[in-house]
Amino acid sequence: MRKELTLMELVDRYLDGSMSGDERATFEARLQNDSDLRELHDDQRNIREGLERVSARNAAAKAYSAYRMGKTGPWVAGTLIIAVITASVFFLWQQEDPQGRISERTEHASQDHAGTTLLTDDRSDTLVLHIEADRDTTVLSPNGVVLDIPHGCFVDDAGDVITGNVRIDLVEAFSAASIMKAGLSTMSGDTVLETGGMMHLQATYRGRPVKINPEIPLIAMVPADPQQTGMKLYAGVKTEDGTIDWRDPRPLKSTLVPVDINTLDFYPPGYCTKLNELGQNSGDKIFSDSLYLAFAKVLHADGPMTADSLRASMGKNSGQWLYEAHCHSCHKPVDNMTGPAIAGARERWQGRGSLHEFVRDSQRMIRSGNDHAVSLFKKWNRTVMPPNDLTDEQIDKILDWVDDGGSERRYGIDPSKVMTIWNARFNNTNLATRAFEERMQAIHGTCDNGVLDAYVRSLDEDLSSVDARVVRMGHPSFAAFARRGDGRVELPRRSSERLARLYGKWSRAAAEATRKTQETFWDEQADKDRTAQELQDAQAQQRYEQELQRFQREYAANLTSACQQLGIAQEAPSREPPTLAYQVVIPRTGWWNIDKSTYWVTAERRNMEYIEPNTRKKVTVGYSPFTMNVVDRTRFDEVTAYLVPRELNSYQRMTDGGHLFREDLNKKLTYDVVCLARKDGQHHIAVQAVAPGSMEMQIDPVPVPHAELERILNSLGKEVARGLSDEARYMAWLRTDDQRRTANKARADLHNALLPIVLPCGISGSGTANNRRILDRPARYPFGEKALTELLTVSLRNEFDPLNRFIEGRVEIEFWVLEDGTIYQPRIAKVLYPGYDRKALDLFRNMPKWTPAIRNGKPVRLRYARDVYFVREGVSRIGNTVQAKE
Amino acid sequence: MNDQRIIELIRQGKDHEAFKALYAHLPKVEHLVRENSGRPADAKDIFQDALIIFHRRVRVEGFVLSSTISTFLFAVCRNLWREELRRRNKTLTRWSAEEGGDATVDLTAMLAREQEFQHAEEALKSLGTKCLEVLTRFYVKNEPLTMIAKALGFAGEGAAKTRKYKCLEEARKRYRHLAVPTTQATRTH
Repeated sequence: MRKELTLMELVDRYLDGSMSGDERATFEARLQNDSDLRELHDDQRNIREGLERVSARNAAAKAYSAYRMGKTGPWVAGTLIIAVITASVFFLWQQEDPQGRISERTEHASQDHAGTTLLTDDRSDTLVLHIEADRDTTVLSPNGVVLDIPHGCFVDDAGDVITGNVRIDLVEAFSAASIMKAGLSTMSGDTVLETGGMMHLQATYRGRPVKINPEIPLIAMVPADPQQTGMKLYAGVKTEDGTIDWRDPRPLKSTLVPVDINTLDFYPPGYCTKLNELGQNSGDKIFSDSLYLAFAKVLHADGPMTADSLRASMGKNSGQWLYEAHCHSCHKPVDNMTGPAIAGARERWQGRGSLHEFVRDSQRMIRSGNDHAVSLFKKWNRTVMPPNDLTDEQIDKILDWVDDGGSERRYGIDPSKVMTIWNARFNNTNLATRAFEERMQAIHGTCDNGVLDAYVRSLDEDLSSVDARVVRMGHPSFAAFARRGDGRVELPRRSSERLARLYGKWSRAAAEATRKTQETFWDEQADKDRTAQELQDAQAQQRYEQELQRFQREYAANLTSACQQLGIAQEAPSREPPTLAYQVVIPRTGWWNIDKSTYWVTAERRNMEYIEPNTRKKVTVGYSPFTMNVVDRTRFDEVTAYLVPRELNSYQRMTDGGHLFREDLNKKLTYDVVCLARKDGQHHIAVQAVAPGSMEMQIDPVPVPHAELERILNSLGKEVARGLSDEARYMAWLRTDDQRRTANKARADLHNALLPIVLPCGISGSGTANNRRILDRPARYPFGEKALTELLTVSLRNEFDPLNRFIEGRVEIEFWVLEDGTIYQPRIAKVLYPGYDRKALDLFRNMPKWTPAIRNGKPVRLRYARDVYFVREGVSRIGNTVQAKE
Repeated sequence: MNDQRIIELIRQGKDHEAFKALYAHLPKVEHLVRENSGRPADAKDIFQDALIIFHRRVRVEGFVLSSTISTFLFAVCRNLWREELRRRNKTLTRWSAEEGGDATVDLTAMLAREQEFQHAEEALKSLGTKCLEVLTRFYVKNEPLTMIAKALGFAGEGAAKTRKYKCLEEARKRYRHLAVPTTQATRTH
């Protein structure tokens, strides 16, 4: 690394041109001979060029925005426009007056044709343009003013649209010298306007001045950099002494240009990027919309929190209830709103007077001359806090509640609200603008739904005035928007009121519909999980019974054979086979229990050879290894193979070794091998007899229609056919169901991956640090931590999973422990798999009351998070600690 | 703003102002692109590329004003757009006649060289923002390492230097990854 570093520095010095002559020559010679160095040099040079490009590109992009920005200042004008751009950028303009001054203008216009401009004899400043009025024209003036002249922009006195050649005379006075030369003043009444420049535009058609069509205005884009606040538009009035007086100032708002709302992006920042990262296609709008909307369920899982539910849950005298009833409209717990944040009020009032008195009747305290009260009153715009009759105790309750971090929790912007406004219904409103799109990104950052509501409920206001209000709601970052002075998209008051009213209704409906859809879907899935479990159990039971039956038959066959070999009469096996297996070592000599031996041999499928000491008769029961290979196995979705011993009217699954199927064959039996395979739902089958003594087999299943499959299976015997077609059906179902569950798991994973983006202040976000206080005692589960851990560890023994791939993991649940110990509003903070999530949530919903947390000797409500673990049977979890989240 | 003034601005490092003035030429390019099956956004992109190419010529190659900047930009844009259309399997159908024959610059060779720098640019953009910032401050803004360390919160000059080295090394690695396949292809031809 040292050497590389030195080399790079050397190259840098060379490229910087800071080498001395000799050094340079040496280096260049080295470059000639050392190809590695040359490569390094080339790369480094190119990278440095690349860096220049990056910064040049940034500058270009910024310049482009500035250029576009300049374009957003359009105005409508009559025949005559005069604009003054001052240091703080003022635009001045004059509308044509039908009587009075018109003659004067016309006079000037004709003078102009006589070879003079309106205000000066100096023609050199005049830009004369001839344009075709029936085409769009864009003109760039020497001072950078861009005129967008749409076709049909000019009308004659009768109001008819002019087509044909229109002459435009443009006079610009941007420098002090040219302003003076043009004889223009910068006086507005007695006030001097600081002037940067002025512009005069006049259009004539066949020698007559023409008007501008108010329907299709001409748009002038005046460079406004640095863009400044306080731009004003003035009407220029020619006074008797021939100078122009600038009157009637109006604040210049940038008019918002509505675009199709569907071309805008209202998603949370990074949503599409993350989607693409996760291998999804964010371009599929229907998919990404509905996925986004689905997150509404996180916020609406228990239905919206209403005053009623609050009252029911905490009683009318609780801190939160009192806060909602008395403070909520003007204060926020930790942010400033109309009034200051409540949090920390006690500290701020320390030694300055009685906070309680102030809260009850601030005006009396102000009148009494308390310094702090007076300064607060002044600081907060002399807003009067209404007097009330709260007791000291009640005020303390509110303050305690706030200081305990009991602010309403912000997760993020409600997707159902976003999707409600991101709709053609809101086209041609403030929301369907690039300007709002930018704000939408910032709104997501606030996680405060109130901000979004403010914009939607104020469609008849300028964006900038809503911006200012949002700043007062405690989001100082919106000041940057407010300063831009963005205007609005004109909308009839009635429409804006209607939209504002319907917004609440629509978004609630969207949330409700989402919640229902989600619930229906997951309920269905839960049903399917249940059915699947039943099927799985039934199939396992059937397999077990079938296997037992086959075993007994094979055992019987082996025993019969052994008895025949010994020449003794066979008794039917008199008892059930033992359920526990003992390891049996067969002695060379001695007395044998023939049926027991045969039993073990059959169970373990190995060879038995025994010579009866008295009769010298030899008994053999034998098994030989056998393997079966499916030709080109990978072409199938799945393959199963069965051995069908002809003598037993039964069958046996072959052990699937991945590559080969293997099983030991009973030497006394004749076997058919049945291979069932499936590809895309198409059944394949091969049935092949095992030649005596054969050790291996190749098998090549061929596609068969369903009826043919049944026929082939039936030829193997009724009992076998029934069992095997059950197997085939089960395997087919299993595959589909596996896909279903894999898809559900993928949904859950996608949800978890996107959650921090969609609801960025999310579920695991931390509260405000300054509200953290030391607890006397945390909340506790009444039966102790160990019991809770046991309760929250769900053993998967009885949980469904047909492929024995247990879904292990944890579901994180967040919940309040209220003052009285009630578990309130448990929510899933991290999902695992729907059925499990539900189960985890149920654990909390049915949980007994806890012992509440104690702070300063009083019970307080606190938010906790706990994991519910789903583990394989026999695994225990220790050290699952309680995490207090405030 | 006249051409000479714009060139001066760029030489003084006042890119923003220069570019802003130059954007006045965008409508013409938009027209060209619109007439040749493109969208205004395409025009915006190629115009930005043209600005960057112009910027380099002024900065490094001592741009001599043989034509107006406007003509130069337009010629570059036309070439870039022709290239883009070729990529999209279309040809340029409508040329504005007065701009047709411009031979003041050997655009083909220039654009080929720009391709290399383009790769470097892409490699750099793929680095983290911190790396890009370190390198930009060092190479473009010529800030001393001590200042960079302070601004970006490195322990000291040494740390900044190491960081710069590592970033440059990583940029080079990625650049080679992007650029080398094309280089080899050229060699085998």
